[in-house]
Formats: sequence, C-alpha cells, structure tokens
Amino acid sequence: MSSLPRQDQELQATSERAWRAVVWDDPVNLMSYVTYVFETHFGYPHERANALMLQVHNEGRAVVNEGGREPMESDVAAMHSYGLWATLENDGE
Amino acid sequence: MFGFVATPQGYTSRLDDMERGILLRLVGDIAALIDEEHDDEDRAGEPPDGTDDPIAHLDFEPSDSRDATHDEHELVDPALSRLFPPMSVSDPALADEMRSLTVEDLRRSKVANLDLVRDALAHGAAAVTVRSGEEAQWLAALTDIRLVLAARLGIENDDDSRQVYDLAVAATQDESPAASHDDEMRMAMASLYSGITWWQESLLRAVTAPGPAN
Repeated sequence: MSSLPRQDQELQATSERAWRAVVWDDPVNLMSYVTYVFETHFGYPHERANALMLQVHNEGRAVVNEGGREPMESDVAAMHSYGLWATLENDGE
Repeated sequence: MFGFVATPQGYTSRLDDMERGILLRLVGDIAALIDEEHDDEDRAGEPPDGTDDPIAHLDFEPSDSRDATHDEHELVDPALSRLFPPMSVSDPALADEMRSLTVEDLRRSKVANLDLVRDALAHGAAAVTVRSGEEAQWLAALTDIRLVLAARLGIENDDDSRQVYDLAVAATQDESPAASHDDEMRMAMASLYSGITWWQESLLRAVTAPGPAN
C-alpha cells in the first residue's frame, strides 16, 4: 500500500473509513454484558464501553467502530458470536 | 444453583444434580439446533416421555419450520434468526453475501462455546468451574442459551421481558396455579430463563469485580 501514489493513498484511506459497525438494543442482553463485550472485543476503556452501552440502551443503537469494510465485517461477525445484535453500514446510509 | 465465586483456577459455582442435568440437555439441544451435524451424545438420556418436560417443549426441530421458498441464508426459526441475525438492515444482498462468508465460522464458534460449557458440566462434581481465560466463551454461550429461550418465550421488548420475570417469580411462590399444560410449560421455561440470567449475571459480577486478579 505504501507504493501507491499519494492521491490514491488518500482515496484508499477515505474508503477505508466508510464502513461502520452498529450495535442495536435488544431485550435479552444484560447491560453489564454489553459493556463487557465492548471492553473485551474492542479493548475500549471501561468508561467508553459503558457510554456506548448506554447509547445502545437509550437510543436503540450505537456506532461501535468505523473503518474499512473487512475489519467492520469482522467486528459485526464477532458481535454475533457474542450474541449481540449488530449490523454493517456504509456512508451511503 | 449458587452464584459464581472467584477461585485460584477461575470461577466456581455449585449446582445440584437436577440443575446440572437440565443445563446439560439444554446446552446439547441448542448445539444440535445450531449445527444439525453436531453429535448428540447428551440427547440419549432424554426421557422417553418428554411431554411434561419444559426442555422437550422448546421444540428443537428447526427443519420443519424452515420454509423452502425462503432464500437459503434466511433462517426462519426465530431462535436461529436471533443467533444469526441479518448483517445489514438496509441491504439484503450485502447481508446475504456477508452471512454466507461468515456463517460457518460463526456456527463453529457458537458450538465450541456450548461444548466448553457442556464439558465443564459433564466433568464437574458438585462444582462447575469456569477456567481463567474461558470467561468470554462461557458468557457468550450463556447468552446464546438465553437468546434461544427468549425466542421461544416470545420476548421481543422490555415489557415481554418483565412479564417473563414476573411469571418466574410467580412460579417460585406458587401463586398462580397453571390453568393449562401450556401455561405450566411456559412457567417452567420462564423459570429456566430467569435462573440462567441470574447465573450469567453472577458470573459477570465475579469476572468484572476488582480484585487481585485485575
């Protein structure tokens, strides 16, 4: 990737940040568990993980990570392995 | 069923034989629901007459409820839909593409988590131990078990959830004699759901408690 011309690198960087992993509220998952998953999977500090959990709980959803398509796909699949309800979005949404 | 406490090996809870038996069957049945190829050694012990058994009532036979006219990646069993939810809300083609790429890994990971719990239940005596480093797999397996029970109980929002907890409390207090066989089964399933929820919370509390291990 480092051999790309500068303009292409910028384009690539833009497209790599165009995807989002979103977690949705559900009536089954425990609030403490959702925080635990955000800390464990993303390595977020407790305060950030807890704030994201509260956003999911109060607003129905929260963007938990942004980046390229593949890492976001992998985050969404990881959330499903933890039993959280997650989806992928891109900038067109 | 007792809450989990920290030990040098990890976290330990005590169960009686009946609780252990119920959990073993539930874990085995859910693994079989997720993966029809999964070995079902633990199902051999099912009572011949399962009609009064809340686990038998869970209806772990997804094949009949699958609608052949649906897309192959769309799982119509509500429990399976919740374990393998759509990966995109707005783009069904993307959701299908992503699901087909990830479904095998996801299936494997869910079954491996359930197998870990099953082995701990099968090999423990009065105590069941969550070994250090296996907390996340345990918590994920307990979540999947609760998601399947919640789908069977029709829990779709917080009000439904509260009603199920009320039902479980009523079951312990014997306040509302079940009017029918279905009511009785629903109460038993609500008790199972509430019990496993409480057990998961106790493991979470033990895992996240500040202590020497942290």
